[in-house]
Amino acid sequence: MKNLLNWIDDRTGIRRITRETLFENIPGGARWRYVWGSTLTFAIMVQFITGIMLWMFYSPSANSAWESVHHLQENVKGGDWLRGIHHWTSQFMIVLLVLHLVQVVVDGAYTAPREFNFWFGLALLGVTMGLGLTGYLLPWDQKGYWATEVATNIVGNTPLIGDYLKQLLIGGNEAGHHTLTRFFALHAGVLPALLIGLIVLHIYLFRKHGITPAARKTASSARHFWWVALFTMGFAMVMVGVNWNAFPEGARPMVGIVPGIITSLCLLRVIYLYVRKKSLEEDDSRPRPGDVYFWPDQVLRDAIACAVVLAGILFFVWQVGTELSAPADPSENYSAARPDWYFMALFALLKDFDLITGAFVIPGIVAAVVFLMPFIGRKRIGHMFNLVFLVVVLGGFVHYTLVAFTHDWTSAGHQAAVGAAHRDAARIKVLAKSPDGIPPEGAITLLRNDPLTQGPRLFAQNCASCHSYDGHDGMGNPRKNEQSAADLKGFASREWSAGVLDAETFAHPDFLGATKLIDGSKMLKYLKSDIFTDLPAEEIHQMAISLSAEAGLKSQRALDAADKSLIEEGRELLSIECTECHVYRGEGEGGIDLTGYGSREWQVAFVRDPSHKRFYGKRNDRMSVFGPKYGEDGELERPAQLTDREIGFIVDWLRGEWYEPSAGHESGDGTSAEGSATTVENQKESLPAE
Amino acid sequence: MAGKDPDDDIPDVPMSEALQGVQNAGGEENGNEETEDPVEASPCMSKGPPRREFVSIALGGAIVAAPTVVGLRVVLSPLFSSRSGGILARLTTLENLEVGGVPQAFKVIADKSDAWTTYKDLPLGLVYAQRVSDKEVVVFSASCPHAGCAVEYRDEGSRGAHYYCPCHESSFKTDGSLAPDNTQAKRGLDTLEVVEEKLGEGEVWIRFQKFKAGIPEKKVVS
Repeated sequence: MKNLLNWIDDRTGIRRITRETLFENIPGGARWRYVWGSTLTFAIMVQFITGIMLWMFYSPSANSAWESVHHLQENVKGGDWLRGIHHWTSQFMIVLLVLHLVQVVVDGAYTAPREFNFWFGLALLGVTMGLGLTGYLLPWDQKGYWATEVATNIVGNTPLIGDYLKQLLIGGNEAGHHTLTRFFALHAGVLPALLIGLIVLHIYLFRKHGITPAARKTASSARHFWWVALFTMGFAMVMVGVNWNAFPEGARPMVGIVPGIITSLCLLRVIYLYVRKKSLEEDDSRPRPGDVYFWPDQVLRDAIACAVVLAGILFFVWQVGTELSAPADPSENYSAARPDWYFMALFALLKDFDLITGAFVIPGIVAAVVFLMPFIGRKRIGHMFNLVFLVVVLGGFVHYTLVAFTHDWTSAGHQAAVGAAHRDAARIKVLAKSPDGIPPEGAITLLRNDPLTQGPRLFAQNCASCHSYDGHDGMGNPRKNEQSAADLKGFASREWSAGVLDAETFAHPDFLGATKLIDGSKMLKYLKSDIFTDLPAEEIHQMAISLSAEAGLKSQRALDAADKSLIEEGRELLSIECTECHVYRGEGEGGIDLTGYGSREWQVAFVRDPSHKRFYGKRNDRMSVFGPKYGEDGELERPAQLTDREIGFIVDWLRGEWYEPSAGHESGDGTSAEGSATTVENQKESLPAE
Repeated sequence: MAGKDPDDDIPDVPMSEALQGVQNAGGEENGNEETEDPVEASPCMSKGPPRREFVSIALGGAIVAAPTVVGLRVVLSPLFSSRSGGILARLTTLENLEVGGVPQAFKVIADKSDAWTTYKDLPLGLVYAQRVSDKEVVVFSASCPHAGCAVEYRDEGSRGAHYYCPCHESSFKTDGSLAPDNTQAKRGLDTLEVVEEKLGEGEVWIRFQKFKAGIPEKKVVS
């Protein structure tokens, strides 16, 4: 064994490298405050490992990126954890980088001869933010797409070269396949290569110059660090206090307690350092203990710190998880568009400042001052300036981040948009698991072909100016115009049919009460007449359920099957009672066709042309002919307003015909009907209440 | 260094002088197996007349430059891509828009090529269409002229009807111009060209284009 090691060492010098790595001299002994660099190295290693593994599952193109991420997250065991660790480690990296930066500035570890190392560190921060920005887009979901739309538009506003820069970044004039291939090349190739290069240089220079000499690391340096921490946290606490009412009720204990504890700890630490000021300073001036090596004391501290970071990452993966919103769709206005949290302060700056000022001038000035810190900090007063500047920038960051989040939490519009985004995200997952799965054109077609998604949207746009659905416009928004036609929730259901066969409900605005059809309605006259009112209640019920059975609604399938004989009898009654004015199963003439009343075919035909003689005929009030309109000579007068496909979405949605995963038991009895009834109910409840 | 011969800037004589030191240092360690950098010590780099140095550098520059130039031309290709001039898309029929009614949101659906894929009926974006008079339809792109989020049409009790961007709170009057409380957008909503002849036939067709965000002028991007 020893011979083998010798043989290798002769050819590689591995012993010397190991020795130099592990037995780096740490004057003054191991300290907790030296752990930041190691935790960052650890985080970067995690990112490289998980990143390469994610790479094995990722496919960068506009119709496969979302699909591949979805597949990894939903179908591959542990895939959600892999993606979660990569996502949350990137969040932690930003925090650790900032802490590392604060530590370096407070210790004055940027002064000569360490300027270059400080700048490499800043470059690493920049590269990491670039990785965050590019990584945000890669899933090609709504969240990433719209955030990147804004980010690339900002890039396009870069003075002088903006237009070219944007074109190069997104690979053309518009976002598409090449935006993904480029962002992916940046995220997985260019930026990681830069990161490795910078880290090698950073660690090389760090090792070359050693840990910042002891003279700087006096008790006063420690005090500076905790003062900075205390001021920043204090500012954050004030901000939290000012915005207290804006925090969601449930989050308040956490929001109050966690920063409170951290601030108190900072305060205690500062007090402690002042109480022991004298003895600590004496300690400083005592001769240093002899060389202490990196191994094992500092390594142990570093390892513990890394374990704490990892625990934090895993906690967030477990508790919060990683979102995947609906596939990117430029035609779907995604009002919940927001960047990642560490860009939220910049996002908020753009509300208060002009695009150039907020996105270039202010961040540019901050970056320039930080860049010059090694020179500014040469004198003691300059060092103090740097500390104050850092507190102001961090405080500003906290301020704007909180402003942005509190605005969103208190904005009903934003919460509704987030709710809609979550509904789409949840729905697409259900559809992707349907037997048909995701087609080669991509998952986006699933939502575009889904009645539950498209029906309400089309209804809101085309029907809601007269109709309503359960009192709202289909999308959960209150109706804008006065109700002038029926509320179509549960059309052709048993409740609906019973309502039709009741003079009071029939004349209610939720039925025909708000239309001209009610004026001199023969139907209303019939319902009020003795012929109808003398009918036994049981027979009316039978007529109602058999009329409803014509629709063959999914939610009533079980009920209809159970009441088969009653429905048979009811049909007889319908033939007797209604065929004087209606067509029913080959009998009667005129009036609304009751054969297949409310069935898919019936409803589609109705929407296509309500003034057809099968329906309202000439008595049609204001309902548009949504299908193609023909003149009396049979010539096309006007093409269709809605395609049959679009009408189909509305009808299928009204009829409750959309894909739902079976709940495991395909019994076809009362339970399944109950099941789909509750899903309809859930859908209604999850609509935002305004 | 792209596309430019790197040796243009490097005079011959100082180069050989500069290498002189290396040559000497290398010479001393010649024959030692543990030479740290055999390339620097290699005799063929530094010995010989300036012409050979020149050729070495020129050749070295060329073999680096050739693939770089080819690669850069490809990577920079988006800069040379032509603008499509907009895509014609049908929104709806004229009859479907009420004269003086509220603006209706429409998805712009048309065929479109994206790199290697040609899509049929691809939703490209969102627009708001309003019929202002019998034969006049105004169509706004929903893409916010501030930073490109999608604007919403809102009709709130106190505020009245307006367009609102949910990102940075730009707001616009219903005629598309900047609202008094707008702070961010520098121009009003971008109007899209409505095809006149189709309007005569009772159909609303538009030329769908995108414009650069963030600036006061309406500048076509694609």
